[in-house]
Amino acid sequence: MHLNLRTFISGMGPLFLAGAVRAAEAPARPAAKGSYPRANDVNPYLKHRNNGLVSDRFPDAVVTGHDDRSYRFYTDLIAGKMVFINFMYVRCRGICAGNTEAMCRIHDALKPRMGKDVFMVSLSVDPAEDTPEALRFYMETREAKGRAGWTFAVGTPADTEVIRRVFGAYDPDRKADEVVTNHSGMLTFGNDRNNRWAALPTVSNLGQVLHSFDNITRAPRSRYI
Amino acid sequence: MKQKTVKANVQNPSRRSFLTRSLAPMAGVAALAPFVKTFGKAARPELLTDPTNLPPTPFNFTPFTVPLFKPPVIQPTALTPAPGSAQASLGSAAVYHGIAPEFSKSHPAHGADWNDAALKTYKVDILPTTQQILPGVETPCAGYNAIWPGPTFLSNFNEPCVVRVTNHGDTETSLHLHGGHTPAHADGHPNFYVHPGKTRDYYYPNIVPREHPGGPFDMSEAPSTMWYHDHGNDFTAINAASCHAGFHLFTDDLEKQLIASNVLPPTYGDTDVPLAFSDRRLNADGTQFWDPLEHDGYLGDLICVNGNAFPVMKVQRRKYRFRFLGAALARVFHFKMSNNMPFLMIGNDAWLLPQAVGATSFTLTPAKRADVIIDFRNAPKEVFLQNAYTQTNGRGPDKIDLANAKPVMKFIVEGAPVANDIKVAVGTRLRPHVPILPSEIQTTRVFTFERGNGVWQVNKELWDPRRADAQPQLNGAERWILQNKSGGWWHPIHIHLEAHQIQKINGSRPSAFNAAKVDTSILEGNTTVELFMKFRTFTGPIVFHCHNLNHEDMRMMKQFDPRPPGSPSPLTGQSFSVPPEICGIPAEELADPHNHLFL
Repeated sequence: MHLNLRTFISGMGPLFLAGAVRAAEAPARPAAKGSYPRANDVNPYLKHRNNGLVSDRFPDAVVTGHDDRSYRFYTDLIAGKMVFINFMYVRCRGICAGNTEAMCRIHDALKPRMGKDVFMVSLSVDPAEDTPEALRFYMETREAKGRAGWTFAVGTPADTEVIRRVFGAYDPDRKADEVVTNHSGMLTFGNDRNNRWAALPTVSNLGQVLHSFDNITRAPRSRYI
Repeated sequence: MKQKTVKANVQNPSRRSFLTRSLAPMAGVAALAPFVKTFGKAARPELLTDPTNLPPTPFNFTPFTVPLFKPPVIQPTALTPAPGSAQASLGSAAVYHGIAPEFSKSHPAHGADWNDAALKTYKVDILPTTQQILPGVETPCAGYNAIWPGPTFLSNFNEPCVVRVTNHGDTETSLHLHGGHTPAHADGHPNFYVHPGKTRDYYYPNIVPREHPGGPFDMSEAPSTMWYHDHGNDFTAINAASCHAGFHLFTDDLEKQLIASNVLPPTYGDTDVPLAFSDRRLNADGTQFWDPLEHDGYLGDLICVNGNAFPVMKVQRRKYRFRFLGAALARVFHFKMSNNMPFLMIGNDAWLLPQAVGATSFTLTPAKRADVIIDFRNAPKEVFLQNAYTQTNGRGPDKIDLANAKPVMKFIVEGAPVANDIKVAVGTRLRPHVPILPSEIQTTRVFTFERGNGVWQVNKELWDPRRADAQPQLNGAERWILQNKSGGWWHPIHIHLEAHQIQKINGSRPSAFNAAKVDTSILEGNTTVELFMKFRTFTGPIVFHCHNLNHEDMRMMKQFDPRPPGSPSPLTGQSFSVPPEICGIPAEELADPHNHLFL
């Protein structure tokens, strides 16, 4: 039986903040039945918009931010913006710390633009456990607190699955995908206005990420797709 | 200009309706239904090889009606200002990215026996255009000189050329001559861009490596079938989908002798035909379906040969030389003829084989070339080239199903058998192979390709343009072991600079077809390839990478920098330290005050 983080945080806050927490066993995703669907099959939001944009496929699911506010994932966090998007979970003992650290360095480099035309979204892939409170704890311990334009968010388990698929942040090997510690370390970024999106490993060297971000977000909308 | 426009019966359902339909249960199969029936009585519904659940191309068409397009040969053009002149130097208005320093006769790598007097110059413009992938449907794209495939280069050994590439597109690009032996500046390194609106002079000396430093050219290394394509970071896959690819054929005295003695047909004559295989998927407005969030591998539902879906070619009853090119982003083909008549394999990747070998079917991954003779002498009046590989995602092909292979191209065979046909046959000696000997090997390196947390890693590292991952001794030889530990994923690994020689695949000697020279080794799922390679003539940085272009854009890549003893690579991992004249990026751009906006 694994630890319920929600209960854990509320009951043992001081201890938790002191860093004495131990990760419980990795939460298992519910095993899907039948064939392993790809993004377009499982995306109930697909038909909602038809603007000829890649982001037409981005679900407009309601997610809860670290600030306890509700956001529509596409409309409020992505539409018309330049955005970095990654996936994380609070109890991760693997790649999340490094990824969040890398995103802090990106945030440092783009600080004058953050919250103005550039934004960041970190979506939890452990929606059963990650409350806004847990996200705030994570932000505090990972240097991410108080940074403009960066929203940590958590959705319902079903919406999280869809979003993860749409962003290609899953493993087509179903067995590998069902292990949450294998979760994607990709950083997706783009400019919704210009319909340009790309992805890199989050911990790629900073110059590489910034150069690619610059490339992708400056490029005008493609005439070819 | 390219081919006759065939009147098409074009359905035009909204894209939305297709996307909606794909939501249905069993979406893949259900959504295919309207497409399948459009083929009518003579149609071949089995053309639809792969039930991916992406929206199918929503157009009616009759396959095998569009004649195969043969790209025209590019003609030399005088360049003003002249390559290498002050007006065309790095940072200049005319040629912002400059030319390789090896162009200068005073450069240490520039051999006294390089035939500078024979220099030919060409101009290639990357231009927006449209392409009729399906007859009557204009698909916007950008092409080299506005065609797809781009114009064919015909080069001769030791006749250098400069290709002045101007990028009229709106994304960064970089041009790689695949199979070539070229200076780093001209090698299409993914960070050695041609910015939008800018120009770079690509210098191809058209020489081959030497037998030993200062010695004669090693003519066993002379290539035949090279190709050129985009190689810029972030945009390689979308640029390839936008039709950035062309052939560059090379001949030397040995191949000319084979032609003169009627063993092989004249280069790029009527019976030497390039075939670039790729796959595309269209939206209802004629644009290409493109998902920039698809990182596993792009799959289309239209198999294109030289830019047209399911073309037809009229042939005579004789032998033809076909230069097969895997120009798809991620699709793997396994070719056979519909009547099971054999292929004669005469070359693998850029190089002619030591001896021609027979095959009834063969695999072609992205980037691979197969130089193939097909003899139509006894063929039926109609015969199809078929693909026997099924593939449902970018991870790799599923299985070879020879009994249910799907046609990709039709041949109409005409007339009586032709007299004085070319003589190449099984066992015909072509290009002598000089094996790299175990005694020459200086170093063994292991590169393990893995998938970790959804990103590609090589030796647990990510791509870093600041770091030389290997520094072979210039002109030395090494053993490289390429291990694929990424589960069932396939990775065609392309190593730039020169050919490598496969020693073992999963511990076994390779087939005769794979035992000589290649520039791309196929790492099937959980496969290990051991190879020998030399690193001659040019210092780096020079890359090697997966040629599934979606994987490549996700930086499944490493680089090496061949160096003379005592002269270590400046690429220590600390900062981007490639000199401006090598990368073709002016110093002021590299010296961005934030020190991160370039790399």
